[in-house]
Amino acid sequence: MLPIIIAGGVVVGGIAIIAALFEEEEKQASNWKSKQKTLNHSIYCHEKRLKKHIKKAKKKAAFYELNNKYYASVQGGNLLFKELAEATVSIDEVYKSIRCIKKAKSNLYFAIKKEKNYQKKKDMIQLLKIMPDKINNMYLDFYKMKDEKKCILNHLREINNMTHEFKLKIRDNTGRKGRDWFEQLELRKLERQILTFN
Amino acid sequence: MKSVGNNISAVNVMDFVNALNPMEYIDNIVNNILNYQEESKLIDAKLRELEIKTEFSHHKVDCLYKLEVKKIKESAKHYHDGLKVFSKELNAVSLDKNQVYKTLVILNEKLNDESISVEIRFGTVLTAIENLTSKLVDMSEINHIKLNMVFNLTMSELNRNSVVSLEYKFNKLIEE
Repeated sequence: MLPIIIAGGVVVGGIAIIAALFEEEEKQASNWKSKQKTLNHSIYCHEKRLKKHIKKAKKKAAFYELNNKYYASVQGGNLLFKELAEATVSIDEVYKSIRCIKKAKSNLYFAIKKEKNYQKKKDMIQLLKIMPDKINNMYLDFYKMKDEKKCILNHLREINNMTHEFKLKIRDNTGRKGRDWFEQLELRKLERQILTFN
Repeated sequence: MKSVGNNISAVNVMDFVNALNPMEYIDNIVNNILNYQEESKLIDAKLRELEIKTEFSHHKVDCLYKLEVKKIKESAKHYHDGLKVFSKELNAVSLDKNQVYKTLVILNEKLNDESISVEIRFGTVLTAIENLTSKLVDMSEINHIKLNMVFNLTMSELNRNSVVSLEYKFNKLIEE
């Protein structure tokens, strides 16, 4: 009887141990599965966060760079614009001088007609003869300056086009910050226009 | 034929006995438990590694951004300094030009002033006008050269593309 009882006890004990182990196995398996899920989710979340961070940093850097370029372009343009105005004044001054010399030539012509003294008349004719050359030389200078002004104008146009492009790039490629900046800029421009108009 | 039949039946019996052997079953379960535990620990380690790696990546993104901003700032400073120098030089020329304009106005008046003798008007005054005009042309030429330099400086600043290199670095970071 005793061996049967012992055998029964061993069997029951064995079954209990196996059941406990089986339970533990299931627990560990579910734990592993949940950790695997957590890992996959973490990888996904981290990647998403990193991509978001990179996107944000890219936009911030793009805004910073484009903003700098915009103001660099504006300042370069302003300097060229100022010098363009200066070149216009210089050209005007040279043109005024040409007109004065032409007027003086015309006056000299009439003065020669009125002059009675032969020697003086001869001297004045000599002066009159060299006037066209002088006027031509001044015209050469005038056209040279005009060409230079044209070149400055072309440079200015190129820079202004780039300024405009940067402005649009800031609006379109740098997110909300860029759009806000663009709106503010346009608002300031409008305010200036109203003030100028008034 | 008979011996083969005997062998098969012996194998089947052994399998059956083995299947009944609880120790092997327990051994399998314990192995599985240990495997699961090991895998779990490995996942924990991977999670920690991922966190560290991600933190490092975020830090790297911040550093790259800061570095880029610093580069942009330095480049902008270089550009503005250059522009300032040119602006100063151009202003100095502009002041000289103003003097020339003023003198030219006076000389132009004198050129047509009938009270001054023809010799002086068409001699001294005209020569002075010519000299001043050629001086103005020279100054404009110098200005033109400087403005070309300003234009080139501005274009080099405007065509600098550092964000593209930053994008490349960021893309490399994502790949990692």
